[in-house]
Amino acid sequence: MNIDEQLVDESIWQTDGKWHTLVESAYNIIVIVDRKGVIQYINKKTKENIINTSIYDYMFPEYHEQVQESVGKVFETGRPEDFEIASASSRGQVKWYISRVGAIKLGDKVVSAVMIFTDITKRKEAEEILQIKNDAIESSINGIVFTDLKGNINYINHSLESMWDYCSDDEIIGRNIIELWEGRKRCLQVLNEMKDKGSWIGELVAKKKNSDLFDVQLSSSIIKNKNGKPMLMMFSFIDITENKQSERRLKQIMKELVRSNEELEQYAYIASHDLKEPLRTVISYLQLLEKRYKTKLDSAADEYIMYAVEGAKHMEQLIKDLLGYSQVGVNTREPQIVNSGIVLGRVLINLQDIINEADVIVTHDKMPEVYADDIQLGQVFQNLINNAIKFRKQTDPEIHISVKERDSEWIFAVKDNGIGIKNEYKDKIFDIFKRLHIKDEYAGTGVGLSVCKRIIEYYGGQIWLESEFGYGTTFYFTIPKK
Amino acid sequence: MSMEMNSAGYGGGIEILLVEDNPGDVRLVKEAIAENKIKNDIYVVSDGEEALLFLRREGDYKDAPQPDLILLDLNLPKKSGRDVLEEVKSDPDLKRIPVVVLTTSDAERDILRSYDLHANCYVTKPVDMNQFVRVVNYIEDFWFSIVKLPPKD
Repeated sequence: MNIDEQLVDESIWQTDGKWHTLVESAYNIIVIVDRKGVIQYINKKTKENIINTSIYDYMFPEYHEQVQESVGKVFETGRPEDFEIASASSRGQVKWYISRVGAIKLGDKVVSAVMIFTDITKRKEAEEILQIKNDAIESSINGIVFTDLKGNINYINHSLESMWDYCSDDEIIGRNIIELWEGRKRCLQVLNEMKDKGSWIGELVAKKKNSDLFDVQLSSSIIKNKNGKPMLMMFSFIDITENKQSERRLKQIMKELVRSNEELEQYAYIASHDLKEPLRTVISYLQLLEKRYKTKLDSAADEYIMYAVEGAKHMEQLIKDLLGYSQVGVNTREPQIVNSGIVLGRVLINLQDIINEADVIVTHDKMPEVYADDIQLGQVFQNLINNAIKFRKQTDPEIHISVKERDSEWIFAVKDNGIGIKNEYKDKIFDIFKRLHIKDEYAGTGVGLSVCKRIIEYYGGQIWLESEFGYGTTFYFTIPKK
Repeated sequence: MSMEMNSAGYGGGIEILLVEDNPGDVRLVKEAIAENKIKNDIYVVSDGEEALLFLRREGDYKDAPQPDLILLDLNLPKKSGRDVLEEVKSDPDLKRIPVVVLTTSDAERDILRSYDLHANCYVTKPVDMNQFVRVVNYIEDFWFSIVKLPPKD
């Protein structure tokens, strides 16, 4: 440090009390450095003495070159220089500063440089957030438009451009938002509602550059400044063409479904009446024939009549069962909480005679409350238990009904020690009218299990079986918890 | 069971109107009635329009008696049994006549609809002939021996 510099120190910074107070109370950081950047003075108190240390120790290395250049220029020309740097605060946070370097002259000679740092960290952060917001709007998959309060477009993002098939934003900026939509009256109505309420959400038909139409969902709002004064309008569009199309398809399918259900109901009704009536006539008159002419016919004729009556009666049962099958899910009552134990109890009372006659031991777990229709659940139990009884073996037939709880469903099991089912029939057995035995062996129409499957699937459950041929069968079915 | 016991107190026989389009069933009902101890006069019409003409004594039926009981099938040509039921039950001159719906259908909606239209009872025709005959006899016994019928005009 030479004499001149000492002079500067003493004469300006230390001896003049007025300047000193002013400088020390300044918001900015003011540092005096020599040509090499060695700190001669700083206006803030620092934890450690930093006088005679290098200013470059307090800024990130990537700025050193730039700052050295500026300081050099100041010493050469005497004219002030500006730069922007980042440094780490004592707590390790990144701080941003703009700095002006000025020359301190003694006569014409530049003897030191004064650096005045202004903390711009907050501004920098705000700028960064703004940039992020900008990028977010620009890259949003929603088509976004800003307009003035008259609807004149002053910004569109990239998605909007491509949704409407424009090549650049020049084609659209300055035009009115109404040009993006189909139906002027509707658009004006939307804009008016927006002005009244401050926002509008709903569906509109949009018009592309080539006048093609597509469906959009719009969320729009009026943006106000800090004082609450409306400044601009923002529109955010989502292309809902696909949703709309699938919605239309769904509606169409629903309509067809309702129609086919109505038809099915009609068929079922026809079956219950129109098919049954002639059958009843056949049966009645065969029986009348038998009754009135019994003595006049021989035993062969009696046998023919018997077969004819049996056939007709079986046909009647088939019609009845088919009707029952087709009615599952038609006019069904809303499922409720039902105690499956009570339902099972009722079924066992119904089957009491058959159970006693077959000498079957029926046991069951404690049954839970489930969400179902009690009559239909009863039908499932009844058909499965009936089935188990029908296909029992002669020695010690047993049936056990158990239940297991899972997170989302109950699994019921009806287990018997009967004749079992061969693996190849495991799925076929649920087909309607599928019978695995001739009628003489085991009576029935083959509808019972199909009805079970239809009921269980109607409530969103599944039904299946496990069986070992010759050793027994377990039917499982699930009932989802609500 | 004698005639004097029935509350109709009508000198002549007891009169039943059978509305039925199936000749087989007409015959069966007639056979059943013939087997019963109660002797009844049975009149048969085979569609809904005829039934109403009979009941209102119009057209060919100027001399028709007012029946004590109507046995009504539901699925009929022209006017259906439901239409007949509705008109009978909303006609002040006819609504007191008991109507027994006797039909093949056991569909819930037919049953509900019939009672909604004030049918006096609903009976499904049994498939078995012997049961059919029994049911017809029960109907006769119930309506002509047990029930008190309204007096005739």
